[in-house]
Amino acid sequence: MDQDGLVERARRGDRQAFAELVRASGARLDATARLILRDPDLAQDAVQETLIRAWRGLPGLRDPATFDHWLHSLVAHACIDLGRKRRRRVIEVELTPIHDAPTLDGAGLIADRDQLDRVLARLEPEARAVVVLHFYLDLPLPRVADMLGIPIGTAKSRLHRSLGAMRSALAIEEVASAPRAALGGPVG
Amino acid sequence: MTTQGQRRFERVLAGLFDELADARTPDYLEAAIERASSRPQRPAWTYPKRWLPMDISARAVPTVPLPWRQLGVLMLIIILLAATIAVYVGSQLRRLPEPFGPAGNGVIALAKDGDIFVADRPGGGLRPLVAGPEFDQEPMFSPDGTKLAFMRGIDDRLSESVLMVADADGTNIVQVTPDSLKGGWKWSFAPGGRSVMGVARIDGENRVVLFPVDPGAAATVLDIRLPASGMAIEAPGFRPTNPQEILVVAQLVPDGPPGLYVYDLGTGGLRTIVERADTDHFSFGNVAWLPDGEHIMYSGRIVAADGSGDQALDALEGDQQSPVSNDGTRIVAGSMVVPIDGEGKHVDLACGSGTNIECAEPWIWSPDDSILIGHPYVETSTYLVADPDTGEVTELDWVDVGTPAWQRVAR
Repeated sequence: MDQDGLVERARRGDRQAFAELVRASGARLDATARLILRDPDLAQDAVQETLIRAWRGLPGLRDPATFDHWLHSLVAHACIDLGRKRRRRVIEVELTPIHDAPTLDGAGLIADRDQLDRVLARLEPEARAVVVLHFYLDLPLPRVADMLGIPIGTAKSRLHRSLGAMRSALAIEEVASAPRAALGGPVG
Repeated sequence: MTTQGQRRFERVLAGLFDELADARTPDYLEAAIERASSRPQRPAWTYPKRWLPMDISARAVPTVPLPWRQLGVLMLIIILLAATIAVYVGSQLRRLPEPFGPAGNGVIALAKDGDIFVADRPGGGLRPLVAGPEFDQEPMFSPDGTKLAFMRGIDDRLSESVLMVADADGTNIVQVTPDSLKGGWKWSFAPGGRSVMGVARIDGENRVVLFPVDPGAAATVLDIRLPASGMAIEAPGFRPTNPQEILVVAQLVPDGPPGLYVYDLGTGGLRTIVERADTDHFSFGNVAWLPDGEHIMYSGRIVAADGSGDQALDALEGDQQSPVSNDGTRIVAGSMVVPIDGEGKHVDLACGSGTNIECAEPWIWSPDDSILIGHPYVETSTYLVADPDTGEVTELDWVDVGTPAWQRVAR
């Protein structure tokens, strides 16, 4: 059965259809939550919360074709909620943009995913949600803004500031590990 | 970092996210599904509250009989005073454009690095209009060109913003929405520029809110049930020929199908334009009045304001962004300018495949309909200017200046 049919059945309370739908999206939901929350246990909580909200809210979903986007929007909101709750335990790192580093131009600075991992962890959950939805789920920014219920300009400013912070932080890491630089070499 | 460097950075970032995510079906998924689906599904949601809380008071519909005689005398005095003033300074007053239809091209407002700038022409030099330590973005001119609205970040991380309105020259800035109403979106000006309307989440629900521009005036939350999902929300729109009427996508009953309605601000009544109860697979998108105020575009279709003559536009595909020219005769569909009635010349804009210019959507019409600006949502892409009559496209030097807003002036 196609996804629309499964959504229809799930909306009418068919648990098996709901399970099939979620199995198809489970890996991506879990990955999205881990990227936004930086904590596998919290990610599990977020996915659980997402599934509860999805199951309870399915009767209100009018357009089955939007199910995937809707689910991603639910997981993003669940992550932001959980992220806010644990924010007081996070050590904030203030990032100062670097404007005059001529050798830091381009994607060659990104050594590996571990660097990205560390840098991503320093962003606020709200900002990470925009970055992850845009770059990982490949959603256009207007769609991200709609999913998070924020103006497009706010989504853009969050993305802009996040990318600036990430570029700067990656550059700092690169400088700090100068002798072992060029882990990735020029890319793109 | 150069724009090219930024593009490379963002391309690589997308790939690294895939690596970092390492998407695999988690072990806990089956148990999580079981726990979730063992709960009862929510049968419906309700809208128990109607008015904004906190520091906004509701505007009540007046019910006390008005003193017509005294008001008449007062009005007469006001008219005489206004006439005297008009005679005295009339020659110095600036003519205003009609709020809809073609108009003259004024300045173009842009946002860059948290300030609002203006340029005299596409790609022209930027002059600061609203500058300072605050983070301002998303400028929008009123249809008569006299007011400028923009969003201002209110916390140090700029996660939340309020709506500000200034005169078109950047003076007399006032905060229109309160700090307590964070994240309002999809704002639009009333034709006369005296109020703004948008969507905000209030008590967890999406509501249409109407704010007079005058400081201290009361705001109103309209008694309209909007779709719960942000993705299904369409910007409410004032009717060009009657700003008392508002076009809105709403749900009349909880969990019911969304429909296209016109809400009367005076009576609070809803008039049905389109209801699509026949299928759950339909969603309303790209909803807007046409400039004549007699027709409505939605999801690649056009319908008369009384709900008759609903028909598909061959050139459009569903929710595709399709800005309409100010004279209401042409639309931009993808990278092609087409007559709205399908008859006549189609103009291909010279970008995209077969050219070395990457298309930038959506496009914005100049008030006089002679120019199109293509503005990219991705900050590192290039802004374009196009001639809608010839299709000629040129890249602009603007970088990351947000969505341009073109001021309408009298011709």
